[in-house]
Amino acid sequence: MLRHFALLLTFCALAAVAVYFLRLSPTVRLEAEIAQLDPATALARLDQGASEAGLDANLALMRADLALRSGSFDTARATLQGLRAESSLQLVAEERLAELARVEGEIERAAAHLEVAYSIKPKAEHRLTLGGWYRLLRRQQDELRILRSVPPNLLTTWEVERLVGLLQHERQFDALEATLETMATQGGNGADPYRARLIDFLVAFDRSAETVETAWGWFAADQDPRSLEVAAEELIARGALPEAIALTHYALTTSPQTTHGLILIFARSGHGAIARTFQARWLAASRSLGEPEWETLLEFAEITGDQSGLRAALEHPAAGTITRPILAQALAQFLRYRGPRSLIEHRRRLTPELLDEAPLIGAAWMAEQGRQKPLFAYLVAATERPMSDWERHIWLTLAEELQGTPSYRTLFEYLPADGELRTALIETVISTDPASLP
Amino acid sequence: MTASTLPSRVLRVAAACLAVWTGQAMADDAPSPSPLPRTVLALYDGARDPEPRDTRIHRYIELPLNHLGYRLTYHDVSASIPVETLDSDISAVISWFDAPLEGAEPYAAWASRVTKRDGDSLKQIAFGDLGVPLAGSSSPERDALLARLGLRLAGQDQMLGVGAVITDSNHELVNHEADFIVQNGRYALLQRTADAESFLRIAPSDSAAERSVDLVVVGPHGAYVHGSATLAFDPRLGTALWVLDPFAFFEAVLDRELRPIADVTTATGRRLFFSTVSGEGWLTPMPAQRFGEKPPLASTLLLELIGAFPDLPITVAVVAGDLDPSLGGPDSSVGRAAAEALFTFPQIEIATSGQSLIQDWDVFEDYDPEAERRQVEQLAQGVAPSRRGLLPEAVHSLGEAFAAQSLSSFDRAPNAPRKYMRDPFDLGVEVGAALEVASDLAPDGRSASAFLWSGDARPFEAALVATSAANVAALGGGGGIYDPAMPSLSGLHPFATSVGGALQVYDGLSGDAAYTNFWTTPSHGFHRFAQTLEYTEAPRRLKPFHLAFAARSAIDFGVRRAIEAHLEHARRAEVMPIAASSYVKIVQGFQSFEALEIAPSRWRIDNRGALQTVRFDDAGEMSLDLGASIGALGARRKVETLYVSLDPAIATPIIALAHDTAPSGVIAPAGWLALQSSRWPVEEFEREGCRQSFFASGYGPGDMAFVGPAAEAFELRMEASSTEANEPLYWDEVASDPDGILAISLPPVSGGPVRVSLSSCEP
Repeated sequence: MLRHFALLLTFCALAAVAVYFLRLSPTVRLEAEIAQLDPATALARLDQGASEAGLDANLALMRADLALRSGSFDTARATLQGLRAESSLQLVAEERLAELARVEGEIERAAAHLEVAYSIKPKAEHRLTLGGWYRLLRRQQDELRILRSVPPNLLTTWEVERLVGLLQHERQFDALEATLETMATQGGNGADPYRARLIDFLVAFDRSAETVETAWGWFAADQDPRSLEVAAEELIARGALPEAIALTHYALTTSPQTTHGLILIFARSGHGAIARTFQARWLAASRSLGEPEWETLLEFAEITGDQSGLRAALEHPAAGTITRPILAQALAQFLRYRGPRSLIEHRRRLTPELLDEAPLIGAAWMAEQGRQKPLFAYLVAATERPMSDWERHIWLTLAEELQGTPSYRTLFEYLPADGELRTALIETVISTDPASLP
Repeated sequence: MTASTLPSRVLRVAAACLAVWTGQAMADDAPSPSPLPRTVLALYDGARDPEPRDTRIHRYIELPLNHLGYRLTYHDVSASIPVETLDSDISAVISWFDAPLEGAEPYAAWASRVTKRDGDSLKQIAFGDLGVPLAGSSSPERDALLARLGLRLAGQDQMLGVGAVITDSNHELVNHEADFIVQNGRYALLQRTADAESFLRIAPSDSAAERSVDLVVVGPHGAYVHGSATLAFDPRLGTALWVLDPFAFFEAVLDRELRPIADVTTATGRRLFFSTVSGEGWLTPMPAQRFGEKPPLASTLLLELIGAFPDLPITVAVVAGDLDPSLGGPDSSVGRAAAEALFTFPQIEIATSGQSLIQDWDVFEDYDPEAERRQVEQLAQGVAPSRRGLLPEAVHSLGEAFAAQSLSSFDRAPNAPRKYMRDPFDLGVEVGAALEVASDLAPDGRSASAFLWSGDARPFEAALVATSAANVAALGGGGGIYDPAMPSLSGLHPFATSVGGALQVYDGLSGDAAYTNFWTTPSHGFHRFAQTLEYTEAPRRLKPFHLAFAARSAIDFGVRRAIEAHLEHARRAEVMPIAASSYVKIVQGFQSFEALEIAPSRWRIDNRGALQTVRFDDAGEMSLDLGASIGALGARRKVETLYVSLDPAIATPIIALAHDTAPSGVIAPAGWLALQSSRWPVEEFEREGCRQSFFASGYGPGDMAFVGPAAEAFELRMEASSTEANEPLYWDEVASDPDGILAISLPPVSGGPVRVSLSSCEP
């Protein structure tokens, strides 16, 4: 019995000890209490707690948040400032002090707090906010410092643009060059604008001689001819024509298969003679002509109206591999500038398959031969495909070959009612009897 | 007003009209004047910007021009070229194109020849691209257009790069909110003509001044601003900053002699205050503090919130669908009770936001029920449970289990084009029937008088016409934020926009949704509104004090506290509280306003509608000559600006100014009292010997200030307008101070206007 009583006593004592040690701390009790209160009452309770025994960090943050929401800015500020001393809470305290200052319209003070937060943990969102605030405050050097706090390739695209613009505006040319170099060497489409700017930079500072090596370095790194084209475009635009020629010459000599697009840069900028010379040299050196090469030749002809390259290419030993669509486009260029008669010299290539695939060529070839029935058929077939302005013009010219025949009026039946082609065709016969048109 | 008082009031108004007529008759001896031109013809390229409200002219330029007194009419040059002879009311033509127009040739021909019917000066202003190609061969039309803008083409295009320098920059016009920095690229070699002035010039390098390019030019017949000198967008700030000072620019370009400016921000010398509550979240319950608790709805809490401010008019809009149990669910009865209780408050203006709480108005312009259904299906798939994740889905399911069941499509697709889509959209139901539902809630026979646009607040023309046909004032959209964190004028919208042939009046300022990312976070964001109030008050009072919030904000501690703080501020501030519908009418008055200069420093005001304030800028040396004016209540000077209050009873007042620097802004005959400011609207002001009287009514105490004879004692009487010289509602003896300022405060009244008299007659 006594033993049972002792056991019972011991158990009770242990239970009492357990209850003592497992009791909720006042802080936890307050947290639990606050969770069940509406925000206004919770804030009042926290104010009371702060004035009595003080609050732990968690409750203090809760108080600061509620005080900010309630518009009690002084309370929020005092509470957050009290938390700055604790190193583990300094970051969040500075962030919230910055936000508090922003709400109060004190951007200068907000920037000071966020600057501290950024120094503790350099978050991208803080960098963006700080940069914007320094711009508002017209603290350009601080904005620059923030933008340069990380390597430029870690900035957003907009930030890099801003950084480059500011460095140029401030005439901090060493930093500008370094930034442009970093961005230019990162590759990809995003590098193009910075490559152009770096070329501009080198030309502007009488360092044009470096441009060829610089641009070739980009090409060597990523094997993307676009880098050379960007450089050539910029060199031509800046008047550094000798450097553009030197770069193109070097590229076409070293890697003609990938760099022929440079020829078009000269053609587009009005330097047709230089482009023609480069085209001739390139064709002479080329061993094969694939689709990209033909695209270059076609575009050259389209820009300049000069088909000498195309004609030479068709005589090229590698021309036998030309695809039907490419051949049709090449012949269309001849047709455009020299009329149906130009097809004669290429008649061995005018297979039925090609003419079916390119009915406008087919129509021209039939017109050349005076064969009206297939001419009509090819003209009708051509209306089923999209046509450029000059192709429509060719179509109308070929259609005139049918004038005076029943087929001419029948053509209207195949033209869309509201199409430009129909309007143009009507104009050719409008003087006869418009009402009789189908 | 009762029948007994009607004849005397009619006689008073008739007498005032006679006075105006007499004044006009005297003025009519001179040649008949025409209204001062105040319309700006805004050209836009409809191929790029489908509607005027999508254009940069509307978004950025219209507000500064509105503030300077100009109204804009838009013309789509991609559809047609305007007539070559413009009405005499046109003051200027402005364009802001992105690129040369498709029809550049006819446009250049028109722009090089356009004139005004009356032969007066017409200013042509171009922002950004001129709309005509500058490269290639020249044409006489293009060169003539350039000359009108103060420009000439001095050579071929040129590239500006790292060596580019700013060779001339006038800080009065540029580097306004953001500093100008050169943008590298190709520039047309545009240089100012000999008779024009350049305010910003750049050159390819220090040593290439002859190839400089003028970016901001003001000439005698027009002006030009290159795109890079207009605004600089900064995504870090989420706003565009003005490089150009638009006020200084337009003041330099347009004819800015002293003239009356229609002002929508002020009445009786005070900044206007009005407040609107949208029905958004009317049935949203407050978050429960304990499990199983039935928390109150936002609308119930709104009742408490608004009830604490009986002295401030608030326009409250309900969504009719929320109050229909078959749509809103079981909570709709609680929501309806809250609305009924709210609408018993005399300070509440009854309004609606429609039947189904539309979010995307474009969907309903050419309505296709099937397309709407498909759109919601697709949107619902976007938030399919499988995409939510396990925990969010569990929370969602729990929420649905306890939420009151309604037919809200937002439960399935939060971005649905409207909340209630059980019934096909019907504009008649959306406007007319919804207004009836709101009116039926009012216990005292009042009816709904306002419609607040919901969602994106981009109503189509037919919707605007429907509200006009229902004879209610419609308001919404626009607004804006302008504070230290977003300190750009570009954040503010103009007063209104034209949609087809209809006018959409915008909110004065943005409400809680804009500060809290549509009621998400930060909850404390709406406290920032106080900064916008300051920035739109000084140095220029650009906007009225418009406090806009949603019903749902009553359940959010942070937003609710901010609203309470702003309402407290409105209670204490020197404002003129009005109903939102009154503001709409004031903006409509701004559109129709006409001022005719009938003699030097003397103007007749016509067609002003409900607008009762005209403003004179740069009038530090001028004062209102009250004795020579007709229908003016008084004036108030704010630095260099003079606000003149007009008597609403006088349809065509005459304002006369005199050279005088009186601090009050008024010079008046001996013994006259001139109104400086009033919390209540004042009308039918009469002066009979030593006795002066007027009618007034308003919200809260009737604080008023007059300027008149110094240290003069007055007997103040306030009587119900329905009685003639009976027992006053209020009586006091008041006296003006040594500066002649007489301040009175009338007790709050309800039930219509009261007659107030101030007598300095000997007993």
